[in-house]
Amino acid sequence: MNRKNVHLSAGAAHADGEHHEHIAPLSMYLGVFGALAVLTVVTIGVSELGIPQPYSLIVAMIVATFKASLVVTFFMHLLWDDRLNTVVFLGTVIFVAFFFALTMTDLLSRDFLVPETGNFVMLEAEKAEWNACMEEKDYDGCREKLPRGWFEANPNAVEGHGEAGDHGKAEDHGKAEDHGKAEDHGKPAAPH
Amino acid sequence: MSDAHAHDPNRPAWVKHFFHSGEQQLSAAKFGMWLFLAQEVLFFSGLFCAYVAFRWLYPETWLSGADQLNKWMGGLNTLVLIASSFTMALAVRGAQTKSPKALKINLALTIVFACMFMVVKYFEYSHKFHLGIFPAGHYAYEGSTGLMPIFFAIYYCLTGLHGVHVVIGIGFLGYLLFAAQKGRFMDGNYAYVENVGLYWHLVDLVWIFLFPLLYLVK
Repeated sequence: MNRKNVHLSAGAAHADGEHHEHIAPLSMYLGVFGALAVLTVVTIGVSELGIPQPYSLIVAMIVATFKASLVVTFFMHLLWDDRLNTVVFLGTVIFVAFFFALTMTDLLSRDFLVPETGNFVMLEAEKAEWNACMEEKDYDGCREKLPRGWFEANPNAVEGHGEAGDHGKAEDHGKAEDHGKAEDHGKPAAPH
Repeated sequence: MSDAHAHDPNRPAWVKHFFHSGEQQLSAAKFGMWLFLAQEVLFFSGLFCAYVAFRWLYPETWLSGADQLNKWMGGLNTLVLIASSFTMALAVRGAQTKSPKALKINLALTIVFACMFMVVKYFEYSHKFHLGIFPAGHYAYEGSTGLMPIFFAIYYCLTGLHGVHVVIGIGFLGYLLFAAQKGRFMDGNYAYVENVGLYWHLVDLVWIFLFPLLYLVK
């Protein structure tokens, strides 16, 4: 295959002004179209199978990424194009990945706030709410105010308060003596 | 410089004096289009990011939200859009092979598929409006629970913005068909056809991800 590279540099230009674009055969376009149609039917079919949640999303995204690569490679001619265009496109994909990754580090790290020890920053309003419900021993109320998944990440949070040896602090909050109750409520809550 | 080119009998008239060759000119035009497409991808990624964040925060809302969408309508639209991408690729091939018939037929077919997509979208939207499923604060459907207004705000923004791209694409395709009718693009200068093609394939690309993310949540 005769690859053409970096036409933007003057040296590679053809003097006759005639361009030698790669013309792909009709059969290739038909094949790509067929593959895209089949993969569309496959994604819908897989969604009908009732695969449990995270896996069905992963399968759907793998199929979608494969379809997208077919479109980009063949319909958009990146296979025969100037390599510079591929660099632009893949560079964009990398920056989209950065964008998603940075957003998710924010969302995911909210699960691991430890209000008792003060690790990680908690919003002042959230902290006030947390302290208020802990003072009232309204543990279920506290749980609802915490971000999703916090109890799963910190299963011993409530019982651990008395056992941590930090008696002074525990007594300040006035719940060290109410150990039995705390244990009942300390089990990880099911996500709602 | 331009004088030297002007005397070159092999140099097509459409090649600008500051390019070495027609090939370089087409290549530069295409590179510019790819830069624009990069911007388009980043621009859509803001909405996709909102999708990811809210889906992670409210997974159940997403499950019940997808129940309100008709996956067969979405699937049909996926096939229609893929078919339009296919005919668009053939239209570019028609310009490459200097076949005016292939160019015009395939451009016309692409426009027909694009309109079909919008018609299906119209039926989907009007059904939802009939139920009172409006975006965000205007949400008025009582038969659902959870934070559905958030799901549908994202649904309408993503599909609406995509729909706007389809409508703009129909405009450009119409212009290409009009120009092709007048005999243009047969002299090797088909940068317009190729760049509208690239735009059209990007619209298809966005839908390829939109469809499973919105319609096939389960």
